[in-house]
Amino acid sequence: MENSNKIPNSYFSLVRKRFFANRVGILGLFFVFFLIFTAVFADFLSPYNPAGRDSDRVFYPPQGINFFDEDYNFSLRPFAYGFIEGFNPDTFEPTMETDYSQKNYIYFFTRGWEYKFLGINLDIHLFSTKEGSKIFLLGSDAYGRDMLSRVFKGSRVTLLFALIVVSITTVIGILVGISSGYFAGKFDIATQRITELALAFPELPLYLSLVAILPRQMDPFLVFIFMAFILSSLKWAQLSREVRGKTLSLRRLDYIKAAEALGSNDMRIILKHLLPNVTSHVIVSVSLLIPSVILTESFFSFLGLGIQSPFVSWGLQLNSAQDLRTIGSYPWVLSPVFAILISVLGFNAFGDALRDAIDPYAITAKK
Amino acid sequence: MSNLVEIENLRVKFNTDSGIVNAVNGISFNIRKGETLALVGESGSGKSVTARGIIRLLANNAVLSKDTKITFNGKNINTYSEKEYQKIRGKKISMIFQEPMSSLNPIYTIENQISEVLKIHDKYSDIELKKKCLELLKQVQIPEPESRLSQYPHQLSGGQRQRIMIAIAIANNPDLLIADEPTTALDVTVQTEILKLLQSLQKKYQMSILFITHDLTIVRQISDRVCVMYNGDIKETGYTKEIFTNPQDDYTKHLLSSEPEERELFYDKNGKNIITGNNLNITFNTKVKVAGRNKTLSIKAVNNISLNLKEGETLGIVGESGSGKTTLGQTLLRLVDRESNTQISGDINFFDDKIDQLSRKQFKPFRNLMQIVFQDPYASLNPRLSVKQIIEEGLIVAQNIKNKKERLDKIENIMNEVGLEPSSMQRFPHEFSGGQRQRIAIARSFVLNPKFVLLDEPTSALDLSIQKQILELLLQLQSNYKTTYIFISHDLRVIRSISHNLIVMKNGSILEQGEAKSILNNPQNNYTKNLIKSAFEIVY
Repeated sequence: MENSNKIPNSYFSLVRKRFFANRVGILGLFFVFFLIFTAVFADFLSPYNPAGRDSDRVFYPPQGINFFDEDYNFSLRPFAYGFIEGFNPDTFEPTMETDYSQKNYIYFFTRGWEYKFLGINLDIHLFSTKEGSKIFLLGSDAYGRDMLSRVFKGSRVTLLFALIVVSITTVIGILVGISSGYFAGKFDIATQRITELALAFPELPLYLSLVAILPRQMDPFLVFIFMAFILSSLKWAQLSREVRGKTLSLRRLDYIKAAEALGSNDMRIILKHLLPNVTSHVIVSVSLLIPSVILTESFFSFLGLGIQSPFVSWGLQLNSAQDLRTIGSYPWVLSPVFAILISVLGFNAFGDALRDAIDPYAITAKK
Repeated sequence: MSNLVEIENLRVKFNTDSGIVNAVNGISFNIRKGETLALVGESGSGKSVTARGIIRLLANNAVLSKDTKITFNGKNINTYSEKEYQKIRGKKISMIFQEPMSSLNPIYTIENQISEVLKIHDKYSDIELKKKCLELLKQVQIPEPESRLSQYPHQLSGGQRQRIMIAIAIANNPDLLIADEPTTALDVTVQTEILKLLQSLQKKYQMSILFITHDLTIVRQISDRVCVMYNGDIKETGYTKEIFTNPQDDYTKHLLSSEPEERELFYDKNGKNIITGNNLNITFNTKVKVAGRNKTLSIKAVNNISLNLKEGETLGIVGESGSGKTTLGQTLLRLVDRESNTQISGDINFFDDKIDQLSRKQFKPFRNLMQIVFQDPYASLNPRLSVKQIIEEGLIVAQNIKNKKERLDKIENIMNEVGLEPSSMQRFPHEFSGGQRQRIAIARSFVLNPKFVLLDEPTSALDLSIQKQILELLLQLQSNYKTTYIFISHDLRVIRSISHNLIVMKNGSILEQGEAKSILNNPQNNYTKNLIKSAFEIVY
C-alpha cells in the first residue's frame, strides 16, 4: 500500500495532522492556550488590584457593558452603570438598584495599579476606569475586591501549582517506571509493590491528615510548596505504572538488544533509547494529570486547607462561597467554578486528542 | 473450463493521513472453476487488497471504485448490498488468513467456532451440528477429532489451528476459497502438509482456490495458473509452468532471477579459530504454579552442542521455530535475556580467550569484535535516532573514538560500502524502506570492523528481490574483511546460497552437522530429508 518512492511524513507532522483533525482537541488546545495567556498576563488583564479592598463596593453584582444609554444615545466608549445600595424593609436585605445617572466609562490601555512583570515595574492595563469609578464585570466579593481580577490572578497560582506537582510526579514516575521496567526481576517486584501501595492508598484521608499537620502560622509560600509535595506523594504511581508497562514492551525490541551488543551500559540504554521512546506517552499522561491536580487543589483550598491568602487560587475564592446564604444572595461568587470547568475540560480535551493522535495503531476514521 | 469469477477493472484507493494511496489500479482477471490461481507479488503489490476487494472486507478508509465489475457464477455481485454479501461470505466464498493465532476466538471451543458458520447460513439440529463438525475435523485430518471438539484454540498447535480455519472455510462447501498467505506463519514441514490438505480438499469439493503468496516455491507446488502483481498492477498471467520456464514480463523475469541460487563458496579450512563452543547446554527455568504448588519448569533450549568457526567461514543454522537456534547464537554473544532464570554450561572461546565466565564489564572489550544483525529491520532500529546516531553509537561506546571528524569519516565510509547514500545520514529510520533499514543495521555492525557477526534471519522479513541484494552485500563484506558468520534461517534456499557449513537443529539438539553441500545433497536424517523435500521439491 505504501509507495516506496514517496518519503513518508515525519512522526510529528503526522501527529499534528491527526490532532488538528479533531475539533474537540482544537477547542481544548484553545482553552489551554487561553489559560496560559491569562496566567502569564494576569496583572495586565486585571483592571484592579486583586488584593485591593473597597468597603464602599461590597458584593456588587456583575455589571453589563453598554454602548447605548437609557435614552438610546450611542456612546463609542463603553460604559457600565453604577448601583445605589438600598435596603428592603421587609426582608432586611440590602438591595442593589441600577443608578442610571452614574456612568462608569471604560478606558483601554490605561494606567492603574502598579505591578511587576519580569522584574520591570509597570502600571499599564488592558482596561480600567477613571479614578473614583469602578466596574466589576464578574461582580465583587465580601471585601469589595474585583472577582475578575482575582480569577485572573488565581489562574496563575492554580496553574503554577499544577505545574509544580506535575513536574515532581513526572520525574519520579519516569525514574521509577523506567528503572523498574528495565531492570526487571527482583527490583521490579519490590518497586511494583511500593507503587501498588501508593495506588491503593486512600488519597483524600492521607492528604487531609498531612495538610492538617502543617502549622497554621506557617508562611503561605511554604504552605504552597508543602502542599505541592503532599499531592505529589501519591500521584506519581499511576504514571510510573504506565511508563513501566511501556518500558517492558520496549526493552524486548531488537534495538535495545542491539545497543547492548554494541556495549552500551544501562545508563546509556535508558537515556538514549528508552527515554525518548516513552516521552510521547508521558506528555499525554501529563496533560491528563493537570486537570486532576487542579481539582484536588481547588478542593483543599475550598475547605480552607490549601493555598493560604495572600495567594489567590480559584479554590480559595470559592472558600467564601461556603454558606448557602452567600450563594443565595450573591451567586456571582461562584464564578471561579467556570474557570475551573474551562481548565479541566480544556486540558482533558487536549490530552484526549493528543492521545488519539500519537497512537500509531489508531484506525483512521471514515471520512 | 468456464469461469467462476470474472473481475474487471478492480480499483481500490485508500484515504490516508498523507493523502490518497492507490493500492490496486484497475486489474482484470478470471478464476476458473476448480483451478488454483496464485496471486503472487512482493509486499505492497496489492494482492491482499485484491482478495479483500472481491469479498468486500476492505478497511474503513478503502474506496472500491464504482466501475469495478465482479461476476460470480454468472451473477454481477458488485452491486450487492452488505446484507446480500453476508449471505455469500462463508457460504459461497470463504477465506483463510495468515495468522492462525489471531483468527480464532480464544474463548470459544472448536465446536462452537465451526458450528457458528454452519448455523449462520443453514438450519441444523444440535445432533446434526455435532456430526457435521466431527466430519469436518476428520476431513482436515486432525488427530483425535472427537476430543478436539471441546478444546480451545490455545490447546492446539499453529498447524492444527490452521486446519481448524480450513474446516470452517469449507464447512458450507464454498465455490471459491481465498487463502491469504495461509502458511507464512507456519514451519516448512507443516506448510507442506497444509498445502497437501488444501489440494486434496480441492479435488474432493471441486472448488476454486485463489492463493495469495509471496513464496515462489509454494506457487510452483500448488497453483495451476499465476497472476504476477506489482505495485497494484497485474504484470503477467499464465500457466504456472509457462511462467516459470518462459517469463515474458521484465518484472517476472526479475522476480524469478531473485531466487537465491546455489553458489560455490570457499574459505580457508586451516585458518584461525574464531569462535568455539564446547558442550553447550542452556536451560530456561521458569516458576509455574501447578495446582497451587510452585514448580520449576525447565526447558532445555540447547542440548549439548559443540561448534567451531574458522576465519571467513559461514555456519548456517537451520531449524523450525522453537528449535533453539536464536538462543544458541545469542549465547555465543552473551546476549541471552538477563531476566529469565537461565543456566548455561559449557565453554565458549573467542580467539584464545575464554569468554563464558566474564562479567558484563569484562566482556565489553569483545563487543566491537562480535556483532549481531536482527531479523526485523523495523524493530532493530531506534525510531527516535537518526541514521548517523544509530551507526555512531558503537563508535562511541565500544571503540571510544572521541574525535568527531574521525567518527564521521568512518560513518561515511561504511554507508558507502553497504550501499547507502551518506547524505541521508541525518534522516530517521522510518524514511527508509525495509531493505535500506536492513542496510543501516548492517552498517551499524560493520562500522566496528567485527570479526564475528551473528546474522539472525536477516533476510526473512524482506521481499525476494531485496533479499538477494542483502545476501550479496553480506557475501561482499565477508570477502572484504574475512568476517566469520553464523547465519540463522528457516529458509534452506537462503542457507544454500551463503553457508559453507550447516547445522540442522530440532528441539535444542543437533540432528545433522557438516558441510552444507553434502547435507543438502545427501541428508541422513529423516527430519532433514523432509525439510529439504518441502523446500526444494516441486510437484506439478
